[in-house]
Amino acid sequence: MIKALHSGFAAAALLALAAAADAHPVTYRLTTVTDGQIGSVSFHSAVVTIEFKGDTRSVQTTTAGGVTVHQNAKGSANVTVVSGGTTIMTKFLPGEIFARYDVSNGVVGFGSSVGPYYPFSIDCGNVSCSGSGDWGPGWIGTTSVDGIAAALADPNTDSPDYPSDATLNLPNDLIQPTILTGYVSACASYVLNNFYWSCPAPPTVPLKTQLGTFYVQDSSGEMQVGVFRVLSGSGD
Amino acid sequence: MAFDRAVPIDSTHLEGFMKTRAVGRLIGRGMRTRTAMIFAAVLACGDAAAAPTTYEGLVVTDVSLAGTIYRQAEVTIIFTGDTNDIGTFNFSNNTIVPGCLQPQSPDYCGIVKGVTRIRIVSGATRIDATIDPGQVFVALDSKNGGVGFSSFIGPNGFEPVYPLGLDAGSVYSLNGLAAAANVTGKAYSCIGFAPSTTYTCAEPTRFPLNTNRGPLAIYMPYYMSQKGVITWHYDGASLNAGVFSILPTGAED
Repeated sequence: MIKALHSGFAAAALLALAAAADAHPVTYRLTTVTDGQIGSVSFHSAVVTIEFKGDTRSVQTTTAGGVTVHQNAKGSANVTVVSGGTTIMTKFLPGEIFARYDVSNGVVGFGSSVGPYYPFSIDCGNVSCSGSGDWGPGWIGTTSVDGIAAALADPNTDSPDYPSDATLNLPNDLIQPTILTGYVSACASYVLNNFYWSCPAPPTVPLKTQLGTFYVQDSSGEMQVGVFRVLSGSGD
Repeated sequence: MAFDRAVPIDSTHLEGFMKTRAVGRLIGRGMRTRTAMIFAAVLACGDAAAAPTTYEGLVVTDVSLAGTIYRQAEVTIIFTGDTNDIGTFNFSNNTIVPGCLQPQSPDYCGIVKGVTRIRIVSGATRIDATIDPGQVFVALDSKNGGVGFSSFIGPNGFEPVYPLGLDAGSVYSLNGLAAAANVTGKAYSCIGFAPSTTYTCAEPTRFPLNTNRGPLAIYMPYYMSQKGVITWHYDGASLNAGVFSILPTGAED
């Protein structure tokens, strides 16, 4: 009995050590162009980068209905807005946003209390952000692969064209360094009207930063693409 | 529409260009000589008040500098020029007119006179290098929705999307090359790109750009193809994304 307990403790300790060995700082960074406001400053077609710094041990993976989602909610986040000659950088208040990657549908970005796809989601694809279709705001219904996130979710979509080996070899979790691209959605609530979908208004409850409230909203009439990166360490 | 201020090719205008390997391939070849004539005319057409502007292109990709490969590096190409040097290229009649006339013009506009730099950030490593003159220029094809940095390099003498070209995304919203703007698009770095047909991208280290830090090559690792043969289609075959910015003087990093 004592021997069995010792074995159990040893196994648990080994698992803990393995987990600790796997844990390391990680940075998620998304860059795109969009409209929005930070504090009292509104911006149009600005380069916006959101960076979230956490630890890989905080990545949670869930599978429901055949859909696998990785999420990391523990960490600190900041946003940088560059427009013309002006750069604004500030931190989100704790708990405002989290990193999220739906590997089954190829949707990746940052979610919040506003919704799992806001402020930014790559390869959102349609008004409900389920990843089918692959266009940004303004259109709906195409099935072509237009980014790495979509290509990893379904490499056969554009057969007989296939993703390059370098694409297929990219990790698709929130732990290993990778790059994920696609059309970007920056909207709290879309309106679909005759195959066109638009983002008529910012969210009623904005996100909070050290410089005040923050929101983003798809640039009117423009489809933007973006880059989401998973970086080892602090990303500096 | 003819260029009414055409000047003979002046070796002083081409001095930087002549130093590159590409110019050797231009001489004696019809299309390439035509390109050189256009190049010279563009250099000659800026006599208005200076309006320095910086053009930046950002992409995450693989890059080789002086024999070292940096994977998934953050690559920024920075071109500093003058908006008074913007000209519209017309390859069909060897002419150029000042200003950016697209989308009416069948060809595209750009600036060839300027300084091109590249910044590579890979982990804790940051490298800044200056690309030798005459190799890279800013180009806008608003008729077809493309923008970025083209070059006179490789087996074709002229490469529209190398070292970096963007299409689709919000590139169509660009209104010339003079006004401040930020756009995103699908990112290409391909020697051998050909619109409206199939193509393959050459190994870029075979045709390096020369910099003060050694030979430079940029790869395009993320794309759709049939066994390496890329089929051009609307909205492109590249799976990568990039940002192109037109910045007022002094706004660049």
